[in-house]
Order: sequence, then structure tokens, then C-alpha cells
Amino acid sequence: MTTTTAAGEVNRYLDEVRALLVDLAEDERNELLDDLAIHLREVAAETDEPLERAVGSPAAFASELRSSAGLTGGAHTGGPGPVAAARQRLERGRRLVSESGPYRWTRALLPELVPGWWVLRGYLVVVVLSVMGGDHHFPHFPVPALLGSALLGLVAVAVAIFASVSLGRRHRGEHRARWVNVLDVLVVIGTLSAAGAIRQHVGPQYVFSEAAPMSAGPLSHADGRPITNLFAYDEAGQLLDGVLLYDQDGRPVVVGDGDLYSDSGLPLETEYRLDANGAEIPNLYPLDQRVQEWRYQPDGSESTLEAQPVRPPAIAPPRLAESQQQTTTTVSTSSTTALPTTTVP
Amino acid sequence: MTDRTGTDTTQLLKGVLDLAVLAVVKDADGYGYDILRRLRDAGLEEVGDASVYGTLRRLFSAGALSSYVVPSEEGPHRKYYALTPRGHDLLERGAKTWRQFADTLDQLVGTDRKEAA
Repeated sequence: MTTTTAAGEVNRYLDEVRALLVDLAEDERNELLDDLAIHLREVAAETDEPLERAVGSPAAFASELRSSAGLTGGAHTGGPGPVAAARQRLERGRRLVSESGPYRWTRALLPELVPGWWVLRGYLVVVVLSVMGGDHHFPHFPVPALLGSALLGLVAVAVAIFASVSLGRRHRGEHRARWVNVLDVLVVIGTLSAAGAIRQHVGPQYVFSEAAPMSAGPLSHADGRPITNLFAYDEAGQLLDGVLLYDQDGRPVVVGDGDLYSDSGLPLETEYRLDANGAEIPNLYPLDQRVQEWRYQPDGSESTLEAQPVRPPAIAPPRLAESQQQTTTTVSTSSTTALPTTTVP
Repeated sequence: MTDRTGTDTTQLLKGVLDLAVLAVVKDADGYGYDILRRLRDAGLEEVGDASVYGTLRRLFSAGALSSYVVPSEEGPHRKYYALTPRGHDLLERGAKTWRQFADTLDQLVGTDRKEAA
């Protein structure tokens, strides 16, 4: 048993015994406990066992001490007063818990975890400072940014961890100052509120970035199916090539400037035709597209992706009423160019 | 060491622990845990930590023991107890009383055993 853990254990034990001797005159109690501290440190130094196993529970110890030292108490003579009796009952309940296996296991593990907390504490202090400074977005997670600089944040984390560990090494066991406890509590509270602030700022961003491609994406039908290409036919069912499409305001109608996918979810490669300056013309239809398709080998074993040109859909052109046919024909003949590859039924 | 009626050496010890502690300290000065260990080594295995500590406190308050602190290079300081003249006196009288008491009890128990046999 190391001296520091033993000292902490002795102090905890003394506190519990002190609580059970509240009915004694203060002078008597203090004198008794000062001596007892020396005695218990001797015991702790001589044995590797936990103190409670070596000398019994604080409640048993206090009651044995009462009878053997002939303690009478201040106001109360004989048995413990009502307050002390209540404390003893509490003590018995506490003993049941503290003697249970899981409690002992956890208690034994705690000293091992403490250095981990020192490191975490240093890091969290910088995170809290970073969030307090307005850096809610945590762009370089897990490195907190200080004054907008992740490098500064990283340096601060290193310094803070060093400081926190030094602090922890200096203030442990019985030397642990009260303000260190206060610091720990502040760090935990600060972290919780910082986590809240980060959540608030990151949350909406997530929603926005997910919603964005949906709203600014390709044209789509009312049922949500995307429109990835546009094919214009004249009333005779002839596919028109080189059609520029504009909306009511003269803005080019573009099916999408991002990645387009076929119905089967495979990517479409679009090759836009270029203007004289070499710029793409996005609203010149139909778009020249190729789609990646799985091609199965004759033996059925291997399959490879192959780019296939997207073909115009098979359509059934409506039959127009007699009176309208004449007027529209002139328009169509002047502007249509039949593609050699067109397969209109 | 405990029978079904709950009588055990702990109960018996209470009456004579003063004497036992005085006797151990008479052999050599000792600190709390050292005295406790010597009592246990002598066969009083059930003697409790708090009982010994309480007894030391009480004997000290009564002037039967004096104490001095010995700084330890490794580990905590140790509070040693030593017998005062008053302690010696107390031990002598206590020992005398004990022998008479033990003789009486021996006779009683011895007689009892004979009758039972």
C-alpha cells in the first residue's frame, strides 16, 4: 500500500469515525482522533489489506472505542444520542454497500483511473475555453480551436494536460486541496454546457447539408423521380436534337449540375457540348450521356462495368386533332433534325 | 471461539484487556499496532484494534502510560507508549487480582468438571 493512498484511506476512515462520535465533547473528540490518525497510519503502514478489513468498519470501530476507552460523551451519557444513533444506522447501510464485491472492485480501480482523468481534465479545459471563445463548430474534431486556430488549440491542449497532470500529482491523497475539487466540478459543468452549445450549432448544420442536395438537385417529377435528361420530339414523333431550353424568365433549364444517377442508381456521365469559347452549354438537349451498366460474361461468372450511351425513350406521340395539324407542321419542319440513331416507334 | 450462547473470548477480554496491555508494554515500549500484534502473537487473536487503541487511550488518561512520538524515516510517525510508575503499580495489583480470580475460577470450573464427570 503506498503512503498516499493509505493516507487518503485513513482520512476517509477518520471522517467516518468522527461522524459517529459527534456526541463527545469537541476537545475530547479532537484529541482522540488526532491520536487515532497516528494509530491508523501505523496500521495502514503495517498491512496491505484495506483499512476496513484490517480494523473493521468505522461503525464497529467507533462503538468498540467507546466502550474500551470508557467514553461517556458530553451531553449524553451511556449510549449514543439520537443523532449518533441515526448516523450509526446510516453507517450500517453504508457498510452493506461498501463491503459488496462490485463496490470494492470499483474502489480498487479508481486510483488507476485518476491519472486518466488528469489528462482528460486538461483537454476539457481547452475545449470549454474554445467553446466559450465562440468556436462552436469544432471543425478539426477532436482538436479544439483557440481564437480560430487549431494549431493554437493543440498547443493549449498540450500545455493544459501537462498542467493538469502536475496539479494532480501534487494534490492527491490527503494533500488534495478543496479548490481542486471545485475545479473538477467546474470542468464537468463547463463540459456539459459546452457539449450543449456544440450540439446546438452542429445540429442545424447537419440538417441543412443533408437537405441541400434535395432542393438544389436535378429536376424531378411530382412523385420525386429525378429528371436526368430531356428529349424533345416534334408532333410527328421525330426526336429533336440541339434544343435549347429556357424557362419563363429566360433562365436556362438545367437538369442538374451535380452528379446524376440512372434509375438503377448507377452514375451517369454527361458530356456537354461546348460553345465557341469552350464553355459547356448545360441546357442544350438531349444531353449526351453514358451510363455504367453491368455486363455479364457469356459464362455468367464475371461481370464488368461498361459505359453505355443513354438512348432516347420509346414514346407514342399523340395524334393531333385535324385542324391543328396544319399550323404546327410548318414550325416542326423548319426546326427538326432527325438523328440517325433515333429509334422512334 | 464462540459458542451458541454468544460467549466468546471477546467478552472475557473486556475485563482483562487493561492488564494484558500493561503487561505487554512492561516488556517493552511499543506503538499501537506493535502492541496489538504482540497481544495477538501471545494468543489473544480476537483482540480488536479499537479495543486496544481505546484501552491505550484510557490508560494514558489515567496516568498509567506515558507516550512519546518517534519519527520514522519511512512511513508515519509512531506514538510509543511506556509504563509509568503508576502503570507498574496498576499492573502489579491487577496481576495479583487476576491470579486470585483465575485460581477461584479454576477451582470452580475444575470442581464443576469433576461433578460432571
